Amino acid sequence: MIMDYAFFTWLTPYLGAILTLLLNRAGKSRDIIAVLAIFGSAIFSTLVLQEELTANHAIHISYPWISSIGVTFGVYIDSLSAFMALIVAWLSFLIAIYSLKYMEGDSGLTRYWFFFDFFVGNMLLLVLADNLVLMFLGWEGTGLASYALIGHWYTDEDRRCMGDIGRKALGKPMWFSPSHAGLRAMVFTRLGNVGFVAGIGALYYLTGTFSIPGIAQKVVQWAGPLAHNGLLFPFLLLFSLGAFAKSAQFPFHEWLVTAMAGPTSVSALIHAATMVKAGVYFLLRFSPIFVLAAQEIPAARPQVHAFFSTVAIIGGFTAFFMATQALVARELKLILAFSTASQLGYMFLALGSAGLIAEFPLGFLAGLSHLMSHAIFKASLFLVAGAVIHVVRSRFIDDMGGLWKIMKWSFLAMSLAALSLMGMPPFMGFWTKDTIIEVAHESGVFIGYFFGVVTAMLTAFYSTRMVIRTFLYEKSENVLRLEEEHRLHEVHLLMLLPYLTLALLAFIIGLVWPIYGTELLKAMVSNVLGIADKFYPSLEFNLGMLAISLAMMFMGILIAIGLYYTSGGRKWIHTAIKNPTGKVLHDFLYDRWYINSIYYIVIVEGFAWLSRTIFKYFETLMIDGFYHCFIPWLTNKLSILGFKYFETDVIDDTYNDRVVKAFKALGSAVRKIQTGIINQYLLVFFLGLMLILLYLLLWMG
Amino acid sequence: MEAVIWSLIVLLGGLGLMLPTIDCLKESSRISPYLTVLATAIALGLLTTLVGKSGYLFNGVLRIGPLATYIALIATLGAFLVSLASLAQAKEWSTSPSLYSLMMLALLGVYFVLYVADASVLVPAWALVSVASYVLVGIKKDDNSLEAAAKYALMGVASSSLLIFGLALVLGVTKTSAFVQFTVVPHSIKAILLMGVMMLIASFGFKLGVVPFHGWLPDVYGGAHPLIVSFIAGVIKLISIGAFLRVLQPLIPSIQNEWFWIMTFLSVITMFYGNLAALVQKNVQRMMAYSSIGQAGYFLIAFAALSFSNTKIIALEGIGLHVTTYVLAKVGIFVGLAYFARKGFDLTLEGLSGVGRKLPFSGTSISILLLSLMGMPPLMGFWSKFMYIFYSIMEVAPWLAFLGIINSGISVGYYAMVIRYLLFSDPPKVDVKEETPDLEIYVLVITALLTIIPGLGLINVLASLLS
Repeated sequence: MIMDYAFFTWLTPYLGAILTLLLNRAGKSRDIIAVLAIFGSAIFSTLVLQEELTANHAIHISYPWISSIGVTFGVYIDSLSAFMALIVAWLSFLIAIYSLKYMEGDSGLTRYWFFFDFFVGNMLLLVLADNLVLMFLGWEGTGLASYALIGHWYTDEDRRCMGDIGRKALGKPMWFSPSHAGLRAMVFTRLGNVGFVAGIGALYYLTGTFSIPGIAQKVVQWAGPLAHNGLLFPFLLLFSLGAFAKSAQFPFHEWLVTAMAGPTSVSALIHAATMVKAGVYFLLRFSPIFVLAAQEIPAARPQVHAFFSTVAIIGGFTAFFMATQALVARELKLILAFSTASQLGYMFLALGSAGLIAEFPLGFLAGLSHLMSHAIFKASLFLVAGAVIHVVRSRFIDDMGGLWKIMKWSFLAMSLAALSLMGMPPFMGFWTKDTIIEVAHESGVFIGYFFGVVTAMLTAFYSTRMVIRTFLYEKSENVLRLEEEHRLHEVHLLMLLPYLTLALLAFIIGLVWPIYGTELLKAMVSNVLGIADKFYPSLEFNLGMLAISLAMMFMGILIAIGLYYTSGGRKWIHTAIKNPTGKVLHDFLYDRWYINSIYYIVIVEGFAWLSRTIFKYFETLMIDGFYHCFIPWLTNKLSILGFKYFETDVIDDTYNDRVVKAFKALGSAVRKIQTGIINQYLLVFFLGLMLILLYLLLWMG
Repeated sequence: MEAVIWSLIVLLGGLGLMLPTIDCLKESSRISPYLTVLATAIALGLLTTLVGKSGYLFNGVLRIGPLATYIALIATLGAFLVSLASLAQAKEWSTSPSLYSLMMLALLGVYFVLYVADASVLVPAWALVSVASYVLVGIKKDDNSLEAAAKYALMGVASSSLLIFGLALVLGVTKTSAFVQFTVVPHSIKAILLMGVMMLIASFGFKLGVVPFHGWLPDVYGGAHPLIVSFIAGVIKLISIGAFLRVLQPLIPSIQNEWFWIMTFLSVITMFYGNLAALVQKNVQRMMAYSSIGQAGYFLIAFAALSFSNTKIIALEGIGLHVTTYVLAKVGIFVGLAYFARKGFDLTLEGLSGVGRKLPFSGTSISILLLSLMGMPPLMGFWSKFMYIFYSIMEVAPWLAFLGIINSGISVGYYAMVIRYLLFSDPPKVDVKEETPDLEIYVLVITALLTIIPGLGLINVLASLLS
């Protein structure tokens, strides 16, 4: 009973969402209520974490709900869910404050705040749920909110779009309106959810429970039969499909890129700090259980191993693949979107590697701590980006440059956050990312490690490029013009404070990491479902590897400075893009490896073709042919036959001429009414019935 | 309980027969629409007294049971909502007294089919509903409606003849006109029983829209007036579900294996056909017609799960709950389309783009109903489809549940498309807005709320009504 307020962590934002609807016309006070609801949730999440830490064991509260299918209503609080809830709630709160100013004057504010609070409630539900059904409720809810918020600016004006208007790759448009982007997010993530639901179903089938701790307990019961039939590996992939889609891992990454058509505060909240982390959280939640399966069942070991290798390779590849696209992106938010998917790839790499090494908790912590640090600095970067885009009124970095004097604090925030993103010591990102690379090295999946190291350089490069192009590059025409008109200014304090706080946080946590880091990590792994052994984290680094990754990073920074901060470099870039090889390479990266176009050609058009064909054959061709060709033909033949035997003009006239004509006339007359011809339907009706009857009788006989 | 049934007969039957006369005598103003709204509301109240009761009536030709009562309640709710919406839609049609009369008579027939326990009641009740529905489709008397009605009637005659034939075969095997549990069948006559069952499946499946007996459905749902369609889809269709439960269910134990495979086969082709065909439709009304076919496929999954004693209970609950989802959604969506049509919008995707901006309450409500059909949690449709129907089959044929889940995935393609056009497009530049006397809005908001609220933790309450 004491801990029942844990439910309020996720119930409060829902309440806030309802209140915003009721206060539809209340203006400012509606916005403040919405923010306060999230603040309440943040307070509750802090209390929950405190309780969990003092109790020093996992807390599971569960009430019966729908008994016939065994669904309960409960929360499961271990150090993983408690820390995750804390991050989600507080970040949401800061971003909500930012939104107060950023969205000011928007016409659809009720809608905005409703979905904002609705999203936060769902996200916290997803994190705290003690069973798969509740988790799935939250999971789908976040998706729905993201769909609605991406399409927030439904008017589809050009400036709200994403991508270069008019650009095509392989004949497919490469720019997306907000409503189109929303649809893509929905379809892409729901594709993955098909796997998630199917996985939940399979688990229920094997264990008879939806409860997450129950699934950990009955690990032998479900993993055993699957492993012995060689199905564990496909099952794990299927079950995690939703996670891959939600966290925008290759091949599901495309939706995240276009999701940037939404308001920037939404991108910061959903597409950087929280929802896209749901996939990582899913793996954090379940991979200890998968590892448990491998420990308990010898037959499962190779399959679990294969699964984790796949996760590591996909993660590593996504990290690299998305980072390459960030190198040439021209939209500020797009750079950050690519970077987000790339960093999520790092987390997948960490978790995949974790399952392959002896000390699973080490990899687990690498993933979790990077999730936390990334949430902090990436949210900060997005919020700065929103501020800058707002000030210069353009989403393209070509329209920025030289802003550092005007937006000093924003410049500071972006630089700090970017340094953290690059993994510069002693920033928070440094500690967390280097652990991942180390774990990847230890796992023995060389390709994952390789991608990890190369990506470190790419990350340093694009981050530096982004900071230079935004703040330090020569002023663009757009900036000069706005400066003349005295329309450049630092943003409002309500916007500035959240991202400055986050950027400083990333810096300060990094500074004190050597002192408190081990304590924090220990707390994070002390009571996690499925991790039974005590684990004592340490901050020791393999110096050789540290040197490699630092060298990579500095190389990236130096190249970026060389190319973008010196006049010679700029000239070189201009010519390099123009020469044939350079152009091919640039377009390849810029058009996102042509994967978007390939999807449209193969999947979208393929599916349309499939349904059209089925439709056509089923509805028209088969029956049409039968009715309009076969029957007149048959009558004709019959009449000829009749003619032979009866040889009278009357019959000849009737059969040979009138009947055939009548049938043809009837056919075309009915045809004129509509495509649906009743006789066809009857024919199908009886044909279908006859076929099934025939089959039954044959089978019975 | 008999008193309740008698009251329903007098209320709906009596009023139904008298309405045209009343309105004919009293030419100045029409009262039949209001009487219908009132009568359906009273019927709703009367039916609630039957909740939780079971037993035989009228010498055993009717059997009251919780599931049947639940479905009857939903049907009445559907009829109530449609008649409410019709006040703004159909009141002024020249044929409207007959419309209301037919609606009430059909509703009465639906009760009889739902409660049926004997062949002697099934045939007349079925005929009453069928004939009423053919006339209803054509009642608007424009070209489209008449054409749809003619097709529906022609197909209906075929299916009804199969009903008689199939019934004769089945009763010949069971040697009783009552629909009672029938478990053992001598192998020599099993083929006859199967043939009979198959014909009944064809006949009932026809009303439900099961492929390949679906031919009429796209034309009727897509061609008739949307308001009428909401009645056909939301009320009339339930007779086939009732007939499946009452007539065929008792026979399942004797043909368990064949039943399972027939249902599986039909559900797979029905789901895939309906959902794939819906993807290419440009007209929303027609798209919803195909979506109905897809939904029929989900019902068939639950029917397949009836084959096994361990999955039967959840399957029955699933059927009851999905009826709720389906009726609320289809009544709401078709009433909404009728509303848009009345406001002068074309019912194609293009024609409806941005309409949800102009008419926010109806646009949002329709979107919620579409999401419910899609299976989006925590709406009603998620629970009934994913948590009951798919899970009922999970234990015996996980692959069938998986095919169902895949179909749900496919259906996102078109449901999301409608939502995108409705809500996420520029509003059209015409001067329309929602006004307080537009009753369709209330119907839509009611259906949307009833779709949301049970999902928020009350699903077990609903499920407890079913058994």
